[in-house]
Amino acid sequence: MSEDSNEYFEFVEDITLADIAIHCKAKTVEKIFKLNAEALLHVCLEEPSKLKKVEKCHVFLQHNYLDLLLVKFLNELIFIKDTRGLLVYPEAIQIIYSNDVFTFEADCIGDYITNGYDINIDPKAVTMHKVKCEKINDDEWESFIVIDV
Amino acid sequence: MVNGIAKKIGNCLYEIPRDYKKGMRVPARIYASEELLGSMDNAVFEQLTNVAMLPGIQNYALCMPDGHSGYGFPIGGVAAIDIEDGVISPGGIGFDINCGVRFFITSLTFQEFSPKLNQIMDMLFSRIPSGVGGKGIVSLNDKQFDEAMVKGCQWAIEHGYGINEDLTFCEENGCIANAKPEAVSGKARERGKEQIGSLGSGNHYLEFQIIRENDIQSRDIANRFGITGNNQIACMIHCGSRGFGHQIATDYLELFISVMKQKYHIDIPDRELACAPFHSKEGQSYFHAMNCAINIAFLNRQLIFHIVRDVLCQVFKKSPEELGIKLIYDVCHNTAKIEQYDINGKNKKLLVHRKGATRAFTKDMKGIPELYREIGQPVLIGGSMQSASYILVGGPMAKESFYSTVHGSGRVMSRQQAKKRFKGRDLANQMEREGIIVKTRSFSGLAEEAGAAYKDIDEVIDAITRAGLSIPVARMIPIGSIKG
Repeated sequence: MSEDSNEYFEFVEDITLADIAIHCKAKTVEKIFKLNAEALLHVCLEEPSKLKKVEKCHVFLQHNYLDLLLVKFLNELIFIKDTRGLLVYPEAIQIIYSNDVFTFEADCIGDYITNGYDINIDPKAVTMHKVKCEKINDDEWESFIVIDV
Repeated sequence: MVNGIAKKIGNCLYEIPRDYKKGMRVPARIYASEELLGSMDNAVFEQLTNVAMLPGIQNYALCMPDGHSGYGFPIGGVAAIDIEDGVISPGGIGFDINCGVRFFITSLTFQEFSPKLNQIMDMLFSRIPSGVGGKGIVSLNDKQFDEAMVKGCQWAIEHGYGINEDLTFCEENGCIANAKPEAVSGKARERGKEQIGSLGSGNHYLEFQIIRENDIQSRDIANRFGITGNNQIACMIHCGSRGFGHQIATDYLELFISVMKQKYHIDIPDRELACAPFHSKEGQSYFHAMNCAINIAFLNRQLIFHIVRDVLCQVFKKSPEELGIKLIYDVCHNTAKIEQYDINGKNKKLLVHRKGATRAFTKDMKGIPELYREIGQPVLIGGSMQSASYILVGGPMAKESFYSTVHGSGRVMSRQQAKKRFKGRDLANQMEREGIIVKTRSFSGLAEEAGAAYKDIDEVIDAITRAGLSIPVARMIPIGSIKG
């Protein structure tokens, strides 16, 4: 769970036994993306709060659908982990909707896996199973995703 | 009726009729004992009946006794789809394309092996990469990687990581046809090329096992495999195509979602079941890329096997022949393969999707090693890290399941629940007291794999035996496990 009781992520039981389901609520869509990235770090690391800010990278993505943009973003974080050995999370996120396209930009920061972290489990991919990212009320957004591990 | 949904129609066989849900093209069938069926979560039935909606599906959507909910397909799901008018679905194969099991025996006894077990485990733990971010045994340049995608295990043999005989005892001889690297994205290449020859994490492992005299269940077949049961040491390797396969599945899932409804007018209730006609441009492209991942997974297991064989030779200062090292088989459990079946009197080419299901060809069938032609293909089933594993062969009713059977125990507890209930270090200590040495890079990951998080493997094997899908040959007990 995140610290703010109105903005949080939680791991949901009994959705898929072998995989990990993440449910998030937040006041903005940007925070939803940020919380999902934090949840992904919790999947990878035993103590994600200890992740140092050593290396930066920029992520730029586009998609016609917001929920699939979220999937694409988390898959990009997994790709960065596998190709550069870097575990990162976004510090600043911007999401713009224009001409039927959602554009996502984020400055991400983190550290190399090999720098002595206690590892939990390796996420393989973000699935499309029951994926959801939508505004449910004024100032209230919700997402749901399943990570294959 | 069980759960108000499935009706018992045979020994360890239940059916959900076609009219259960609008859009089902065939009934759904579940192989299980009543107890195992009762332990399945409801999502299994929903997912399986969604699978029954896939265009071109033949006879039944099937679920094996180790089945549990996944995404799109249940794990343990099988769908045989006519390639002429049917589809290919990445969700029916899984992200870890050609996740599978390799199993070899030795002539060493437990008494000879156990004094060296710690040393062997330490050496293997340092030589075989595992866990998050583990890089592979080999690092390939672009040209080599393209060759490896096409050649699979053959690439390893050509580069000194094995012997020709290893190829004989792999499904597809460790090299499936129709692998075309041009169908593989730059991202998949980038993600995969540094990971070849690594275990990964999750439920992947390398495990030393003992085969005891009283655990031989089919003596004649065991003899043909070279299994003596004299406290014989064996080894099982469970892993797949790593990030390479995961990225291929991710790439094509996204592509299929974009064309499934708009271009091909296919309406399926779960996006994770995204599919495209097999003969479409997109379908063929995924098929070619998936076959590349199948070959990379074969190569992955071959490289790991080669290292294990090398370490055993080093420690015992003997040759592989002197140690009686004999590869029994390497079998896939996450694939889609073209196989021929008689469907209502018509010979059809079907794309058999097996997601967490093992091919189980019976005796006299083409596609299995000559040495096994009279007994059938070895079926290798890994239990949890605290329970037995099995070697079986295809049974008398295997044709009914498109020659498919279980792939493991199947989970009954989510990873989060397991982590709340078990502490990794305590579990490792408990396993050591039980006679199983564990090496892991993640104790919390170990907790998620606790034996209690899985179904009872003996019950699962009993169900497929009673259903006639497989015949148990021998049961193996774990003594040393390297977890990813």
